Amino acid sequence: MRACPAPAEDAGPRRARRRRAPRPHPFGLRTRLVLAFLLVAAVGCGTTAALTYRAARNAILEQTQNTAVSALRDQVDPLRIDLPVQTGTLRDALLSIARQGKPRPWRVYAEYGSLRVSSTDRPTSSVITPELRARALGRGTTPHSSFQRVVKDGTPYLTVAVPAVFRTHATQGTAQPTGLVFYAVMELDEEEANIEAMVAAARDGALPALAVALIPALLAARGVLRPVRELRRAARSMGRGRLDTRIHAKGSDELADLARTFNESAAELERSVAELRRAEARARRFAADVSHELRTPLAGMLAVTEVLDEDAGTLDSDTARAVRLISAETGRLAVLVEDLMEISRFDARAAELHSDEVDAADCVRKTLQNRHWTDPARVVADLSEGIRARLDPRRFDVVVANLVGNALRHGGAPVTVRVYAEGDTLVTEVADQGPGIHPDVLPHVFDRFYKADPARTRSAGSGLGLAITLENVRLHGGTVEAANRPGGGAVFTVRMPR
Amino acid sequence: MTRRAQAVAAALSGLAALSLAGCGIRDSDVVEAGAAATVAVAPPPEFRMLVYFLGPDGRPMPVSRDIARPFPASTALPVRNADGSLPYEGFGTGYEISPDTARRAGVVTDMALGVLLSGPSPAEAAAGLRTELPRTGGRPHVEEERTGAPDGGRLRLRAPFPVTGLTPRAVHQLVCTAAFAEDPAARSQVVVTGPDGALPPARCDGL
Repeated sequence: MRACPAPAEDAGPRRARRRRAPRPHPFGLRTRLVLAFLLVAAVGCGTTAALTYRAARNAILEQTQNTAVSALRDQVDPLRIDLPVQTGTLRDALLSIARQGKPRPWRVYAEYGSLRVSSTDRPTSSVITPELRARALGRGTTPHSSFQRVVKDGTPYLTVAVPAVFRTHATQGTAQPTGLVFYAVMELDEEEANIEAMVAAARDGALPALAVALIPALLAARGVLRPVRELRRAARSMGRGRLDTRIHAKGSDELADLARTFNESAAELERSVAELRRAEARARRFAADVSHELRTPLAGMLAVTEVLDEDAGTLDSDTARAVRLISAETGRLAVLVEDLMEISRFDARAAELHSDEVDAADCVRKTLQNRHWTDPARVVADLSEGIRARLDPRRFDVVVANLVGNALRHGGAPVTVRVYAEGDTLVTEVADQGPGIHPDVLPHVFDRFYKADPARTRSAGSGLGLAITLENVRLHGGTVEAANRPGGGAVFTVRMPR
Repeated sequence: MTRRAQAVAAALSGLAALSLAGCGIRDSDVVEAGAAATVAVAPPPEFRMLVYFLGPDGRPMPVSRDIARPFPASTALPVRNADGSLPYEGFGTGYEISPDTARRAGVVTDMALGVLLSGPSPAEAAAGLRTELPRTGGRPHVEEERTGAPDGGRLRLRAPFPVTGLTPRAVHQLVCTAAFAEDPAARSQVVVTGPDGALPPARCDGL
């Protein structure tokens, strides 16, 4: 399934420190996906519930209202009244109607002129509004039956008004209002209970629906997040240099496409890097081979030039100058080849550190003496005594010699060599009194064959001295830096762990 | 982005909660729901006359009065008894005058107007009925003008009191009482005249 680095458990402590812990995402993909799912579910549930609720509520109320109106009308229709109405007979009629409330028991009232008759002990009801009365009497128009819902003290009531009309003639008469209006008042508490039950059902149904929606939300989030997590792991592994990292790409969605693209890019990158590495190795091998091959003839040539040097005094002056030139250049060539071989060993990572516990001041002193840099006018040694350091004496010698030689060559005398300890660090400072290093050159002083002045094609050194110094210091796990002192002159500072 | 999504989510959930919880049964306006109930008014149309008084709120309210029967053989104007009822003058079987005949003769109309001018009875007054017509001793008389119009004729109502100062409700009382006494459909136009002049013709169709 994967070609990834080992999991964090078996990674070394150093790797574990480097690896960043995955940041928590308060609004990461998972949260957003789950929220989106829940939102859709909530909107769906809410809308459905609201629409169902409205339709059901209206249906319940409509049925109750229509039933009540037509029931009251049916009860009033067969009545036979006198005009003006007789209170006694009207009350009897009301009591009879009050027993037949539909769809629920009701209280009935009748109003005629200033007469108020009711089926209860109170002549009229406070629930009946003036608007309903006005509509029932139908000022200026034929009166109609009507109803109104009234909420009083939290209780919903249905009030129905049915005006009574009569025919002025059995066949050709018109309907004339009698002025008598029947009212019915019905409590809607049962309807309200039904409606509240519906609301509760909708609410109780919505919560489980949301909980159910959580499951596909989490599944979808996992389906998206797993490839993303894998991709992140693979990218991190690639960043650590494991170019053979691949992702198991399955499926045909966009994430699988992304994984395939990642795999292709990784393969391409791996191929390119391998190619580069091969080319680099070839180049290094070539440099090493060349210097090695040059070394043998050079050794012979050096031996010959020593003899020639000795005999130069006996030759005529032109020939003697030519012989000395050949001798000097051969020596330079030998140094260059040695340096090249040294650099090649570093590049091939074949350089080895042979550490030994030594006295740093002694080492530096020995280096200066071996090079005959003992003239205080040229080299001043300021050495703290008794600093024991664990280092490769041969490589430390190369470092100091290269730095001092470089200072003598490019800077100005006197060159000051200081050695002191800074805690666990051995600091070696080589300062000169020269013009310092140009700021443009400063970043490149440790580059191979870097020419500070392009016009000057020849220099006394091999052009590899500082590069070799840098490699040697690095091998010790230390640093070397070049800077200009405020008072003038360059200073190279080497810091190596003791 | 996430903040906007948050806001949208909050708004939507709030909306859902609102739509679920925020409504039970609400007040409503007055809603018309079908025709009125048609009751029977005693006595039957043939044996009654309608007299229009006013309710406590000024709305015209009809009361029905029995027409005593059988009618007197004479077509002369009946003389009312002291209690307002018509005298009974029975001539026996075969001599009845049908109420329609009496109606056509304008007898009933004059009678109804007489009742109207005498004002509400104690029972009617107890129910809050009143009149805006002056109480006078005289009786109005109704003549039918034959205009030949298809929608009923035109009645000329001669009142024994000045009519130009009457309120519209009072005129309506006169017009409706006369029109319904003449014709169960009250199609006639009524011209109310008095000693001080005549009012424009009117019909009994709502006030």
